[in-house]
Amino acid sequence: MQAESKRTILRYGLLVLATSMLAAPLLAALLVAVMPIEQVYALPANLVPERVDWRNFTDAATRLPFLRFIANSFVVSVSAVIGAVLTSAMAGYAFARLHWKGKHAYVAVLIASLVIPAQILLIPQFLLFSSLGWINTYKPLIVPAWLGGGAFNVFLFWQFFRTIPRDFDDAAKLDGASHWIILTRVMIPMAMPVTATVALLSFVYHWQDFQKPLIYLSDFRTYPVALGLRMYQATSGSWINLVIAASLIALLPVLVVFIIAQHHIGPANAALALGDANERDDD
Amino acid sequence: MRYLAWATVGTLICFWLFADTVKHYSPHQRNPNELRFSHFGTYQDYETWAQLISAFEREYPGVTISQEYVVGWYGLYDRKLRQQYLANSEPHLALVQAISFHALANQFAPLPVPTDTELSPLEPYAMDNVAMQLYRKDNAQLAMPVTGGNLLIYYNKKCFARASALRGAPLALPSDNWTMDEFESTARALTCDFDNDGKLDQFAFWQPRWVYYLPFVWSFGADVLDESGEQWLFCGEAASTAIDFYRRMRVQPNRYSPDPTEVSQIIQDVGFITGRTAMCVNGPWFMPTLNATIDQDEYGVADIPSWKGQRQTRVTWDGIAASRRLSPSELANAMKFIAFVGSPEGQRVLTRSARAIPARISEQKWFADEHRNKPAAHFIDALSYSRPEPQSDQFRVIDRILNQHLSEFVTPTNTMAAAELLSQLAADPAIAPLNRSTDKSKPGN
Amino acid sequence: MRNPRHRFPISPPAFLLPWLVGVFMLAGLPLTATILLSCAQWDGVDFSSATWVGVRHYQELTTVEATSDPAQNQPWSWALLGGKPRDALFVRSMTNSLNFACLATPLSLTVALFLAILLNARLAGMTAFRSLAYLPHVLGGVATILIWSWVFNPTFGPVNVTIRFAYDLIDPIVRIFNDRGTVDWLLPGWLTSETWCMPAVVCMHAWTAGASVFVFLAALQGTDPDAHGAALIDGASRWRRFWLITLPQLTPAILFNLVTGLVASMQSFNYSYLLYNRAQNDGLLFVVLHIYRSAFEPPYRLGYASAMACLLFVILLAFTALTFASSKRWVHYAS
Repeated sequence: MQAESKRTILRYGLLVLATSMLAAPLLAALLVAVMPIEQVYALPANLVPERVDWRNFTDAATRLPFLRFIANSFVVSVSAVIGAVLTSAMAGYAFARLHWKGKHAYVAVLIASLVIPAQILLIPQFLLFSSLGWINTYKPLIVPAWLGGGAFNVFLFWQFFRTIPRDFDDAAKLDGASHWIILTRVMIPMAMPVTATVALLSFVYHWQDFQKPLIYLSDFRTYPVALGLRMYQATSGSWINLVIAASLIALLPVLVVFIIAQHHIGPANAALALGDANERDDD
Repeated sequence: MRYLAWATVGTLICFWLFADTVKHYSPHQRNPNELRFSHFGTYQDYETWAQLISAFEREYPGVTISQEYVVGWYGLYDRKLRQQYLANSEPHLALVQAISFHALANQFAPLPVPTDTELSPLEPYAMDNVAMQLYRKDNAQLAMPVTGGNLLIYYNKKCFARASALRGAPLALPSDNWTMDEFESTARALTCDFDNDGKLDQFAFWQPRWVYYLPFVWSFGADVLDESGEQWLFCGEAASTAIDFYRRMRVQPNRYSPDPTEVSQIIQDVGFITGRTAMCVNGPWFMPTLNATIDQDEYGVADIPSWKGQRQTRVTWDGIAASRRLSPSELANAMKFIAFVGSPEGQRVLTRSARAIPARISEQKWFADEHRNKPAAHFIDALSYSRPEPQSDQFRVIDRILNQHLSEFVTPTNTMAAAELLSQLAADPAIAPLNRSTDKSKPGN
Repeated sequence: MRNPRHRFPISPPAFLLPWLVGVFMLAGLPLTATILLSCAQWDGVDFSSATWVGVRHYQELTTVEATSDPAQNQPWSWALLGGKPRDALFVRSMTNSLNFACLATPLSLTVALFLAILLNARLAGMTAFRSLAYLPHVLGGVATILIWSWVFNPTFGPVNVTIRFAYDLIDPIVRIFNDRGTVDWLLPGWLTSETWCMPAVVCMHAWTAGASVFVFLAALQGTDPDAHGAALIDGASRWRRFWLITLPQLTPAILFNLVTGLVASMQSFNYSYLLYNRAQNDGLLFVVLHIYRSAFEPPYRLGYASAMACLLFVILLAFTALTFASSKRWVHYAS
C-alpha cells in the first residue's frame, strides 16, 4: 500500500498547490489593501507592505457612502431571491407533478428559453420597463425574479422534484392538503439542497449584477455595490489600495451567504450545485 | 377575513408596481417646485454641487432640487442621459460637456433671450464668450456654460532637481515663453537612467490620450477639423511637423516619453505623482488629486511651448441645460437655478477647490486673485490662447481612429513617413466622409 | 379506466402563471420586438421618426468589400470573409468574442476537470477543498475583476513583479551568453496592450471555473467502477485507464459544460466594459459591448444594434446546434 499513500500525498500536494493558486489573487489583493498609497506606487515595486495600514478599509467604506451601497444590494438581492426560489419552485412543481394538455409544448418553451441570450432582450426590455415608468426604481431588478426566477432554476427544481417518491405527496393528499401545502410543507423542505443552491446562485447573481443596475438606475444613492465599485474605479482609480479594499468589503457578504448555503447544501449533495451559474455569470 | 387579507396584500402589491407608472403618465401632477438635476464627475464634484444646491435652496425656499449624481465620466454619463431621454425620465436640468452637447442638443429647451428680463438667467456679456458660443445652435442658446478647464503642462520640480544632479549642471524650470525646441531639449535632459542599467528610470513627458496632444498640434499650426466640425483638415506641412514631433517623443534614439507598458495608462496620474514622468499635459481638474498627494510647492504649471511665436491650447466647458419637455412653471424654476449657477456666488462655490475655472468673466478675475502665486492662476492667464475643439458627432470615432493609427505609427519598426500616415488617416473609412465637404454625413438610424 | 384525454385540464396550472408571464413579457415579447426593431431605422427618442428599412441593416453588417491593403496587414477574419467588411468594428468585436469563447472555455474546462479529478477521493479535508474550489465562482463579478486588474498592472502588479523577479534570478546565467542579461526582456503589458489583454482576461475567466468542477465531480462519481475493474485486470496503466474508460464516461458532462460555457462567454459583458481602455486598440471590445454602445452612443443606431443582437443570437443558435450535432460522434452515453 506504499504506492497508494504516495499517491495520497501527491494528491494533497497538488490540491494545496491548486487551491493556493485560486487564493493567490485574493491574497495579493489583501496585501495591497493594507498598503499606504506611497508604497503601492514605490519603485522598485514590492508586494509585501512595509507597514500594515488597516485604515484603508475604513477610508474605503467612508469616502463614498459604501455601506449604503451594500444595504441597497441586500434589499435588491434578498427580495429577488425570495421571488426566484418561490416562483421557480412553483413552476418546477407544475412540471414535475401536474398534467395538462399540451404540456410538451411548455417543456419545449422552457428549454428554448434557456438558450436565448440576455443581450438580445436588453433594448426591448429597457423600452418595456421605461414605458411602465420603472426607470430609477428597483422594480426592473426585482420583478423579473418573481416571474419564474430564471429557466435554469425551474429546471433544477423540476429535476429534483422528480426524484422525490410520490408516496410523500400521496400521503399529504389523503390528508386533504392542497398543492400549495404540498409544495411548501413537503416538497421544498425535502428539496433543501436544491433550494439552498437556487437561493445561493440567485443571490450571487443579483449581488454581482452590473449591467441592469447600470441601465436602470440613475442616482448614485440607489446604486448596488457592484455599481458602487465601478464608481470607485471611475472616480478614484488611482487610489488602487482603497478600490481593492472596497472590493474586498463587497466580497464579504457573498462569502457569508456562501458559508450558510454550503451548510444547507451539505457535502453529500454538493454535486447538486451542478447549478452552473456560468450561464448567468456575465449577463 | 382571509379574503380581506389577500385583497389588502394584492392592492399593496399593485400599488407598489404601478404607482410610478401612473405618475409617469401624468406630468401635470408633478410638482413644479421639485426639480431633478443631473451631473457627472468625481465624488468631490458631488459634494461641491451639494453645497451649491443648499445655497440655492436657502435663496429660493420654495424650490427643491434633487441632485442626481451619475458616476463617472462623459462616456458613461452621456449614455445614461440618452437612456433617460429614451425612457422619458430625463432630469429637468443636466450638466453637459461641450463635446457631448452637439449630439444631445435637440433635447434641450432654448434659454430665454436676454430681453425677457424677467426670466432670463443669461447675462451674455458676463460669461466667457467662447464658452457661450459653444452652446449655441441655430441661433438659440441651449445651455449656459458653468465651469471649464484648459490644458497646460504640469512639471514636477523634484524630477528637475534629480536630472540636474545627474547631469552636473542645473536644469532650468520651464519658462513662460519657452519654445518647442526648448521643450524638446529640456525633455531630453530630463530623461534619465539613474542606475545605469540600460533602462530609463525617469521620463520627461507623458500625455495619456490623443486629445491631450491637441495643444501641440494646434501650436504647430495644424488643425484636425475645421470650425464646423465637418471637414477634415489634418494634412499639410504643419501636420507633418506635429506628427514628427510626436514620433521623436516616443521613438529611439533620444525618446523621452514612456510606452504604455512602462507607465500604465489606466493609472495615468500616478506616473507624475511618483516622479516617474517629469511633465504631463493636464487640466485644472488634476490639482485636487495632486494637492492630496504631493506638496503644492513641488509642482508647477507651465505654458504650452510656442512654435514660430504661436501657441494654442484646448479648453473645454461644462454647461447647464434644461429639458425641452418642461412645463412653463418648471422652466421658470429651472431658470432660477441656472441663473444662480451663473451668479458670482454660485460660480465661487463651484470653483473654490480650483478643480475648474469659472465661466463668468468677473469670477475669473476673482479666481486668479484667490489663487495668486499658485499654479491655479496660470489657467486663467492661459485662457487668452485657449480655444475649444470643434464640435462634431464624430468626436469619438475620430479619437479612436487617431489613437489607433498613431500608436501603430510610433512602434519602433515603423518606417512610414509622416505625410504617408496623414494620407492613410484621411483615407480611413471612418474619416473619409469628413473629407468631402459636399457630402454631409447623414445622421444614423 | 378513464380516457386520459379527459383527465387533464386544458389550461396550464396556476402554479405556472408567474413563469408563463415572465416568459411572455420578458422573453417572447422582447425577442419579437428586437427582430422588428432590427428592420427599422430609429434613433430611439421619437417614434414618429422611425422608418422601416427591411433587411438593410443585415446587408450592411454582412457586406464585404474588396481591399487594396497588403495581405499581411489584414486580420485573419478578413481573409476568412474574403475582403474588408464594411463594418470592420463589428467584425473585430465579433472576432474578439469568438477568440475569448474559444480560448476561455476549453481552458476553464481543463482546469475544472483537473480539479475534479483531484477532488474525487474520499480523504479527510476534501469537503473544505471542494468549498475552496467553488469559492472563486461565487466571488466572480465586479469586485474580482477590479482585483484582477490590479494583479495584471504592468508596472506594480504581482504578476509582472513576479516575472521581473524571475528574470533577475536567471540574469547571471543569461549574462554568460549576452552582455545585457535580461534587461531588455519583455514584461507583458497585459491590460494595457493589444496583444496581451486577451490572455489576461482568459486567465481571469479560468479562475472562476469552480461551477463546472461540480458537474465533473458528479459525473466522476457516476462513472462505472466495473469498467475500471476490467481494465485493471487487463493491466492497463492509470493514464490509459483514465483515457480509455473514465474520459468517455465524462463526455456528457463535458458536452454540457462546453455548450453552456461557450454560450456564456460569447455573452460576456463585464470584462469588456470594466477593463476597456484605449491602449488596447479595441482588442477587448466584445460584441456585446459594441451592441450596447451602438445603441446608446451617437449616432444612436438602435435598429442597427438590434440587428447585431439578432446576428449574435443566430450565431449562438448555430453554435449550440453544431455542438449537439457533433456530439453523436464523441459523446458516450451509458446505455
